[in-house]
Amino acid sequence: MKKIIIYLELGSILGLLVCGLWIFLKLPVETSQGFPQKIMYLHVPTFIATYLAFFVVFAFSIAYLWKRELMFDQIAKVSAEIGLIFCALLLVTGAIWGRPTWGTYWVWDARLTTTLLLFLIFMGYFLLRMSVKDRDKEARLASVIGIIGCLDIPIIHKSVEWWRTLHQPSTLFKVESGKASPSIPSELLNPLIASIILMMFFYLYLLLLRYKTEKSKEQLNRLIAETQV
Amino acid sequence: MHIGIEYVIAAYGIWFCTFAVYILMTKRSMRIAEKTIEAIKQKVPESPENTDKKG
Repeated sequence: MKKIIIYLELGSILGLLVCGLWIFLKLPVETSQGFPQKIMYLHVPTFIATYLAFFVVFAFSIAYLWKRELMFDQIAKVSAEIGLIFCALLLVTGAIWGRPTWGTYWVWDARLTTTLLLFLIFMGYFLLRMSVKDRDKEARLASVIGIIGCLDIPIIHKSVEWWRTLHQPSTLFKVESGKASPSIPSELLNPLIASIILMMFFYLYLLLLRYKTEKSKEQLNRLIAETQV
Repeated sequence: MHIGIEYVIAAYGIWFCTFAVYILMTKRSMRIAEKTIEAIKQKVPESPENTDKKG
């Protein structure tokens, strides 16, 4: 596992740096939004990584409730932590991008509000984990909150279609005449897809690194408990 | 100079700093946990309780 973590660390971080050079040095400045459009290459991959992290929480929370294996809860917990950071950065980068394009950092628009709700649900998820002392009870309750919280993701995704929003429709899956296709030219699309793939590897790296730390902490707690007995 | 460059620098800067701090903190806490585990494992067989039990 140590080797995989090192390969993922080097691969994803170097890849993201190279992708950054491609975006800033090779790509032309987009005509309608100007230079702030470059935030898209950070905001959209962060958005996909948030989805991925919370999907992992959803899947492993179900797995925990089904099998009652502590490992599943540990994976759900670390993925929720990483997802929460991605979600916070999604809100921050979105607000920063909103200022030059919409003229405001924040509006109570359906997409933004449902994303904020997701962030708050997972803040509650960690507050719950901190407040319950019994490890099994903590895992059980957190799994339920994790599953309920993830039900917000399809609402976030569909919010730009269901309600009239200031937020633009999906860049990658814009639905036109029944078909979902990207709404940007391939020149701008290719680095975006590369950033998304690299961001997924970066998420995987964080997940493994954090999971290894979590395992060490659990082992330490067990050892402390044993030595006290 | 590009118009709106400050927004791009702010977005990329915040993103980069957040993960740099997160990765460093995670690695630090892993190192501390591993060192403590090693220390406990080395100490436990030497403790008087254990030697009494062996004796």
